[in-house]
Amino acid sequence: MSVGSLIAFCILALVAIFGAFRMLTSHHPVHSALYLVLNFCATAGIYLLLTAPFIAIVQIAVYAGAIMVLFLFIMMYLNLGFTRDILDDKRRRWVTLVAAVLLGALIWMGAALHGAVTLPANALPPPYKVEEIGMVLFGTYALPFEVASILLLVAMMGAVVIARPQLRAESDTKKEAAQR
Amino acid sequence: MATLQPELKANGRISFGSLLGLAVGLLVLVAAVGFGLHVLQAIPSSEWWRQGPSLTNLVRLYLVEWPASWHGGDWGVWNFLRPGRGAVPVITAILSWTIVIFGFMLPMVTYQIYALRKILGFMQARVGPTQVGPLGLLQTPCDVLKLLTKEDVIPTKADRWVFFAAPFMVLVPASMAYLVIPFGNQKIVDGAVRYSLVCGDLNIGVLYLSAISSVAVIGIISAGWASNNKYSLLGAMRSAAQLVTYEVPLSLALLAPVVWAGTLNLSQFAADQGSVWGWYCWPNLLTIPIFVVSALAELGHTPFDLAEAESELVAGYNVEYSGMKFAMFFLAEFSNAFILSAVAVTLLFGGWQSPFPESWGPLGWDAGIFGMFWFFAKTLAMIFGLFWVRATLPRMRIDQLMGLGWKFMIPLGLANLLLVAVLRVLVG
Repeated sequence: MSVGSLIAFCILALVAIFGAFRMLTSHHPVHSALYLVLNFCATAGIYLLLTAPFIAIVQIAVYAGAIMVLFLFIMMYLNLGFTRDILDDKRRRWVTLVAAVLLGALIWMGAALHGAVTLPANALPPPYKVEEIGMVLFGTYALPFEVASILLLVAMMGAVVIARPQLRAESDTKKEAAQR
Repeated sequence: MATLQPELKANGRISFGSLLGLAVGLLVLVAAVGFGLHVLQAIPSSEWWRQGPSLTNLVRLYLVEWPASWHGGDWGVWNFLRPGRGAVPVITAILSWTIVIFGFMLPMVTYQIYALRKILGFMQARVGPTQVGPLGLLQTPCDVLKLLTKEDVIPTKADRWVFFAAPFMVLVPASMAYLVIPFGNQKIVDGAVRYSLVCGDLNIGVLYLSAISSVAVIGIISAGWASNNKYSLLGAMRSAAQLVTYEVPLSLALLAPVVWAGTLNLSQFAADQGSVWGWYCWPNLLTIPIFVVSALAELGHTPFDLAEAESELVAGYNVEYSGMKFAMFFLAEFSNAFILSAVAVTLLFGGWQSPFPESWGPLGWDAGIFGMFWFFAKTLAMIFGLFWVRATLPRMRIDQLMGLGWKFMIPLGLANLLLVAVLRVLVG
């Protein structure tokens, strides 16, 4: 890793950690969401340093551009407050800490099994081509890809089904009220 | 000078201070003119002129290569900043992008607003701005200066940090889009770029554009929420719903030419569309209306301007903003109009390519500055088209807008994508 990318990595990593930390400790959920966006952008920058521009762009488009927009939309629309249950409850704090350590250990074990704990010093992989990702995604892994999209479709239909009866019930009671 | 005269003779005699000010001003003027003349006469004999006078060359020669010759070419720890090292393409891209933003985007947006007012005035049998400067040409620069110097009001109960950050979250993505727009052609000799008129030649340009533009929605809803005002929150909700809805057909419309061309690189797009019959608008005839309608909705232009319908509502998510922050939202909006037109021109109408065959002499030239001419001619024509629609059509209702988006534009976009893909397979 050259000095330049090391400096860039340090800055991005600090920004990412700062974003994640403030996301946890902010007093308002909207602030938390915005810090999470900051964290996503910094992570995308780190992907760029690893010569993976496609992943970086997808990270920004999907997480920052789509998912966080929905989160913010709902939080601002419903004007959600923040109950500091999780941070104030001491027992839960310990459980959270243990869970975090276990998760970290799991990730480390997974990385160790693949032999990727230490990056080779000067041998970054060549930049992925979008064409190659497309070929792999729609060739080798076509079936898992389609299964994943069916899963998303089912989730979406489930949301509609859950939302609909309630709406109907509401409009029914309104109609009854109007008839009376 | 009329206002200067009484100052000079305050209390009946010429004051020393004003004379000193005049002298210093004259000296600075003479120095500036001299320096300007010196630079002008030095240009034709300079290295920059010899190698092809382009922005990239200017940046490369004077901001990258010239500093690289300092200290005998050895910078010690800072060697990674030297030419040939990893950081240099990035630095060149960022520097030329900065030049484009401050040298081009700000004046362009200023005069785009002037053009909008003049064109709308003409179409509605009015005259538009006429008072400030000849033909009212200085009206919009004066408006910009006024906005920049206005008091910056922050509502008492606003969320100060989010209120402060929101305009940046809108303007930064809008200006980042200029990174991948090819303003003209690239000259490549032996695999090395001699000059290019695109700031950063990204291989995933189209993806980059759609990702960047989707982030701006966060800024808009943050602005509406942080103002702590019911009307701005409702305006932000309307804007966000509209933007999120029409992002889908817009992406589908971008995808169709991508499927046809087989590349995501915008300069590659422009370079591949040789003659006028090779432009990608021909197989994409259905893409053009989809793109235009979703672009109008993304910009919030008139048939879809219900987020800030001036005649019916307060102004939308930016009600509480004033001065410079309001100017930033305004700037982003007009800059997006340019970007979307430029993207349409690059993807569908040949980018910087001349519409005439090369045998027609100068009309057919499209290298360097000629390519820039064609690019801007087409883009400005596209912007004019957007303004024309804006002056012509009445406003839609919110349920019509949503219905059109979800029930018509998205299925149409998918069908169009399928059609273009089938055409691609058939043509081979």
